Amino acid sequence: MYRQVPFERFLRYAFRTASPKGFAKLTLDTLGIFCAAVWTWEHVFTIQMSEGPSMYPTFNVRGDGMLISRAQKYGKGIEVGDVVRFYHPSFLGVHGAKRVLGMPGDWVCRDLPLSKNVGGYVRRDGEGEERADMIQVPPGHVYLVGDNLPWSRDSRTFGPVPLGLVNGKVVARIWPLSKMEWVKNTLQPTSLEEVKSA
Amino acid sequence: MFFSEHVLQVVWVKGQSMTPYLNEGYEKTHTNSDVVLVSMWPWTSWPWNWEKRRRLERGMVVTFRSPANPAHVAVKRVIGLPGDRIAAREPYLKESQIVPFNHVWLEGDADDPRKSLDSNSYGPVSVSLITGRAIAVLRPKFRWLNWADWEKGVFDSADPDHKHGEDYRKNVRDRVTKEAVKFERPVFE
Repeated sequence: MYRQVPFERFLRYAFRTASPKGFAKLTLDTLGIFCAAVWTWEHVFTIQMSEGPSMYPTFNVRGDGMLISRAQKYGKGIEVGDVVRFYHPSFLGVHGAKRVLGMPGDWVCRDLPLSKNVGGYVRRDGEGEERADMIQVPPGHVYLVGDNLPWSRDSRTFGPVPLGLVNGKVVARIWPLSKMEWVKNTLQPTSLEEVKSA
Repeated sequence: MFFSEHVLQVVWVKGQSMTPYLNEGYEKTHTNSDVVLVSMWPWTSWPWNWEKRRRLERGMVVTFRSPANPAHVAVKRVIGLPGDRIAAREPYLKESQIVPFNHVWLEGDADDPRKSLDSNSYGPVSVSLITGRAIAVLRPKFRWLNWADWEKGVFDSADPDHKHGEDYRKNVRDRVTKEAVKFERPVFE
């Protein structure tokens, strides 16, 4: 009696046909496929699970699969209302996804960090009061805000983000399958017809 | 493609912001463009240290996406690390600035602050914007760039006769108060 080797026939075949040349070719092919896969992942699309409450009604707190188009690297072809993915400015290796509220040169109201209201909310505490004011987004930057205002740390906290940190645009939710849909740009100007029909 | 994005890259340096360290004869010709070898491998150590940390030291010459114009890749020197207090130069609005967590203070080597668009115009730069580190000059004359020379005040290891002064850019180093504030990693979520 001898022990059964798993995949015996396959292994016998592999050993019989093995050669240094074939081995080199296999290594080269694997390397090529790996590089191609990384390139696709970094330049065409990325799939990532959502995490954190900042985009809540659009993406769930945990476990929604997002399809991210990488053609919009460095903010090419980004407009107001798009959801973009960016390297977090104060944490290395961390990504965030937020909605674009202002492009370079736009005027936006910089609300207080984590405020529930929009547009010049005033916080009164003790003696003084703090006022949100209008700022102009500097050239080469975008103003990003999460959809879940009181639970989002975004440009209200760390200021406008350099476009060089933007590394993609979230185009669709692909997981769970029952909730698969394109991400809508919710900041489009409405037309009169739309208002009438509503 | 993969190699140039993750391992090594060759970059042409244009402009006068790093003169005289790079593009040495820029004042005379205005057409100089040094060719620099940039290491894109970001992590300090090899896989046994899994903490994602980019090794940055004062004096390193790095490439990064310019915060003012994302289509442009800039080359500058790291002057201050997180926690340093910098006495800023002319165009900056405040007199001194403490570099926040995960940010660095980058400046050109030019003596005249108007010749370099750097952290004095756009503030501390996020480490996430940095793409690579210049390790050698390929053209016009090959030489290795050694970031440790910066703290010693040596222009270059291949510069025995101190062409650029005895203590190269001491005034810049004097504007930095090292580790004025001690940072701990901020909590995330």
